[in-house]
Amino acid sequence: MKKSDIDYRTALEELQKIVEKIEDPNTDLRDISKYVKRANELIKRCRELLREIEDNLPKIT
Amino acid sequence: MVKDKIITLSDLQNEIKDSIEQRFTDRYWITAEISEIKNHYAGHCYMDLIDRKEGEDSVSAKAQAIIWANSYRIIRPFFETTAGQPLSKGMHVLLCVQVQFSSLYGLSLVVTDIDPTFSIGEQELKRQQTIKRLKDEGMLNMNSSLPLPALPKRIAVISSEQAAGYRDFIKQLQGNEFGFRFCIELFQAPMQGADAPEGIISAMDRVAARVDDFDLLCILRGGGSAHDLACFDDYDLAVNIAQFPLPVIVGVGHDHDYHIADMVAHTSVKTPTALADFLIDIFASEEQQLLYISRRVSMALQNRITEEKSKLQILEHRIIAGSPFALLERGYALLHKNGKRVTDIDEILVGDEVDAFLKGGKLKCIVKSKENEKE
Repeated sequence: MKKSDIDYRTALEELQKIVEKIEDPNTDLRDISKYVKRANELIKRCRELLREIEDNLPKIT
Repeated sequence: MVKDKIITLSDLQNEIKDSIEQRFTDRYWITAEISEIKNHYAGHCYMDLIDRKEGEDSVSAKAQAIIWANSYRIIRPFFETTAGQPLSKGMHVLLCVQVQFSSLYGLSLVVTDIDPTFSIGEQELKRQQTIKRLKDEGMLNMNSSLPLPALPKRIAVISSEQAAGYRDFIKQLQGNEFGFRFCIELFQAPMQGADAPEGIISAMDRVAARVDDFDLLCILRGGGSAHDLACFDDYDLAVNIAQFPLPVIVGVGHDHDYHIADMVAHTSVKTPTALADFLIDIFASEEQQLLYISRRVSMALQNRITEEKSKLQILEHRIIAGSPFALLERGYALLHKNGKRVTDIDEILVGDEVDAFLKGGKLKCIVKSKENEKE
């Protein structure tokens, strides 16, 4: 499996867990902002990976 | 042997001709395999017919056969309509023949009729045997057990650049409404006819040699006649697809075509356009999922804020409601003795000095008498 695929799967997995924590009413309020920040980073990274162009092959023309 | 009776080649050939023509006067229905077939410009058809020994590849009989133009004009369209494909190399056929011998051209079988239903049965039987063999060898689910990459962007394509199917695929993929970009590399191969399986396998070998460069292999071509697509029922091609190190997606032909290649592939779709949609959908559904997660995050955050706010409000309310000043507002008074709140009459003796707090201020009082409720 190539690196970007691993990155994507790992990020998505972490994201799922973090969202559950944000949704959990027992999560300490002080941790929430940290989780939200991380979730937004991960979403951004995943979307980048989705749209990233790989340069090692010719593009379709 | 005495050389007193010398005859010419022609004499000998004529004798052979006479004896053959006397002996073989009927028409014969024979089964044979077509090993070569050529259509003559004058409209005749020349074939080499062969027989193989049971279960072996070696040829046990061979003869030249001819369909004269006047018969071929009738036989050919009838055969193609009924069998769904033209007479071709490798096909097993049931033919009606007359034996003919010419001194110049030798022995030939003149074909007067062909029964197409025999060839259909033969081909279907062969197809079923191939499926059974692949099943017994565990090939049917081999490729589909490979995990599909989460983001398959690097696509190896086996097709023919001129094929309409390939152009449809590129157009659909390139013009996707979401703007996803793919890296495509084409590995050319003949996509129909007897050479196709070998050509496709050799292209697959070229892809396999660079397996790390790709996420997926797509094999595609547009629809065609049953004959054009018959190569996708080939056993060797099926084995190569089954054992390929990358997931193989097959998009061959149209709705009604389902081939052995489709059965052994990781995924099979109906058309090259559908194949492009399959790839685009993978990305679109991931992106949709991310949007959903992003919404969940903001909603959860919003809910949490609302919840905390309402907790604060309740607390504030309780503080206000519990405050003694609220009681004073409503006409009650509060007694303090020596700076401490008095909650029981027993804490006070006659003559004690107490402070009475009420709305607007404080009174300094001396207790003149007291009356216990209990007494």
